[in-house]
Amino acid sequence: MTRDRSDDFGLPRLLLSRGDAPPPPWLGRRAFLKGLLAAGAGLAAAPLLRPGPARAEIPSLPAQGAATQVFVAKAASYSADLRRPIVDGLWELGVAQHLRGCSVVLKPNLVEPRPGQEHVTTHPLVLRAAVEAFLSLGAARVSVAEGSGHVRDPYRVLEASGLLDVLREDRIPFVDLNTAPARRVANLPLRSGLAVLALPEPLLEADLVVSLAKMKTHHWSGVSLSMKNLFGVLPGRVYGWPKNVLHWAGIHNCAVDVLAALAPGLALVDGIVGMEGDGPIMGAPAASGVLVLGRSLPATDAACCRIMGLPPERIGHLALAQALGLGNIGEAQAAQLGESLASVRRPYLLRRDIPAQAALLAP
Amino acid sequence: MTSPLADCTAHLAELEARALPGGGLPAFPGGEFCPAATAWALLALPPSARPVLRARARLLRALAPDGGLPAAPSLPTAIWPSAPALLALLASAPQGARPPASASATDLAMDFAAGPAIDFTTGSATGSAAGKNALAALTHFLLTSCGRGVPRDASASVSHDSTLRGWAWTSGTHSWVEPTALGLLALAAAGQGGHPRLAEARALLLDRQLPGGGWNYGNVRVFDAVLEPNLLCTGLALCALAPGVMAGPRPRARVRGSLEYLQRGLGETRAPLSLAWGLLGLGAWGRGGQRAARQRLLGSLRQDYGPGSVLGPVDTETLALACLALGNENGLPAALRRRIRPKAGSHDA
Repeated sequence: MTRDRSDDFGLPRLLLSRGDAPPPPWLGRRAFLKGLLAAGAGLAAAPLLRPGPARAEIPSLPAQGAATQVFVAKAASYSADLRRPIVDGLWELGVAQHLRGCSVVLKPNLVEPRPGQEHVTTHPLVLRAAVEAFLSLGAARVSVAEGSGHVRDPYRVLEASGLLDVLREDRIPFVDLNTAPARRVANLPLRSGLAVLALPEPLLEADLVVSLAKMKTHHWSGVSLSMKNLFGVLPGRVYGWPKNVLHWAGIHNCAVDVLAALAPGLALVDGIVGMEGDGPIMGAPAASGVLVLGRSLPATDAACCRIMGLPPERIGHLALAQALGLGNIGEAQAAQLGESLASVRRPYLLRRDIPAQAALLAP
Repeated sequence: MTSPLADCTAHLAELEARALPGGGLPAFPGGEFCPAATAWALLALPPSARPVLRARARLLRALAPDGGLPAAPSLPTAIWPSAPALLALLASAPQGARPPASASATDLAMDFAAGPAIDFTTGSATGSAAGKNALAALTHFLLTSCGRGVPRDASASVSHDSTLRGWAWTSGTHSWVEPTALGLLALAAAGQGGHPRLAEARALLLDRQLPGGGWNYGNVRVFDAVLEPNLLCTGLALCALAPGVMAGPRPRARVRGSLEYLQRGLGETRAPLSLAWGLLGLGAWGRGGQRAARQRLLGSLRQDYGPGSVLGPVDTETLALACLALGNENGLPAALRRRIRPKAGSHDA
């Protein structure tokens, strides 16, 4: 279902109904966002995005109905060579050839790091490997950015996750999205009721934003994958710690709204050691031994769900994303690259006493 | 050993240097005016510091018509800087500009409604009526705003009493530990220690304390899992519950586990914001000193930030809180008492 909001905001129909018409070829993320903000200039107090320097842009996703590709690689442990499968995935997905000169921001899941508990947050060695991969393919700048939802002290977040050491050793810049300058962006498809979203400028100005998620179950949303990971881009100074505004507005609704507003170009999910049970913090380690990459976050998350033995169509924000034309989650539409899903499937334990998970168990 | 004041002299100078030409301070060097950063800087800087008057004036100009202080004019619902702002304006207020200690919420509302309108274009810091009006407006705003409660039911997935009212980060959302602790501290400093809202806020903080000690953002148990604390929230909550903040029995026995958690935790981190709040919290309960933690805080500021660091410059709020922690071994409430004239009716328990 695509809501016709042209009467509400006077915005061009093309931008309101993604699924109806394919975007122009080679319309990259930056150009798309420029168009969105320019169209939204009529909204009160919605500043325009500053135009950035000319750079190579990542081609847009195929339109709805076309196959969406997901790349799955096996990775036995965090001490394995993780850069190679990421590089392979970027080539297979048609991203690698466009990275030269690009600025890339990696957004990991560091919601509440626990020292020594590698199943809670995106592993630092996955981040290191991703940075190396993008730089080796010619990216001009790769940085890490996160707005932790539960811990307001960014230094403590980095320290507890083990990422601080990696950032220092590899000289990787870090941006705290909770306090970074932000811009108001028109919220389409406006499922959450939040008319505008505050998005950090470092993300809006990047050529490529990567949702570098963790493969986890979640006690409110069913799963925490690349779409749910985007909650961490929203500044805490606007939305709080936790970002309670989003919970009141509806987790699934907000997930699709942020996806539509930010339009990350890539999902990379750390499923080497994920989390099952009472995620996203208190669950148990689940060793899936995979890295999953995809240019469509809903499609990537759907593939992750199948690896976890979960039905993606029962995940609220995935079903909503498909209904709104933001991505395909159907198995028939997916083009699986790398390892087959069947070869890496490892069912995740769910809790029947947690309603969001019980709904995934019902026949 | 250097004196506490000497430890932070260089950092106070760095704070001063961040002052904006139009008044106030940014969240980061080179940025725009940030209300929260300005508020904490006003608390850290000595009253005679050069930027204080203009920073105070800038803060006054940022007040919304309802008396609250949002994080930015374009973010009217992000009202969490209101409590730090009240503390900052109290601490930097000229004599005579403070509302009377016994003022009720009604008195304050009448003051705000009937008094001279705040000149938002100049926000003169020397105008005692404007300053007094602002303090009354902020106090009234905090007394009349609260976090959103949630009715409890038998199958509640969270264990805390979700009906207790504290303060929220943003309008229309639930009460959480940090804004509630700051709201309690600010209103107590404004002479509202006997107000029922503060008793409820204290009850909320004690309700959100984790069974093993410490606080996090404000959840205790979700489904059957007891969550874990963090140093920042624990330090701040302990400041709010400390002896001398408000009347009533001291919950010393009830917070012993939290004090122990904080004491241990400070030995495991270099994070300056967490160290600062940890030091302020322990100091408030008579556990000042903490030389090793203080040295780690200084070391972190000097070595982990700045040009060439992957973290960039330290943010203004962290810098200000570090100065507060380094310069006040007896914690935040004592530091506030030194800066804010004691109120008739306020209590030292």
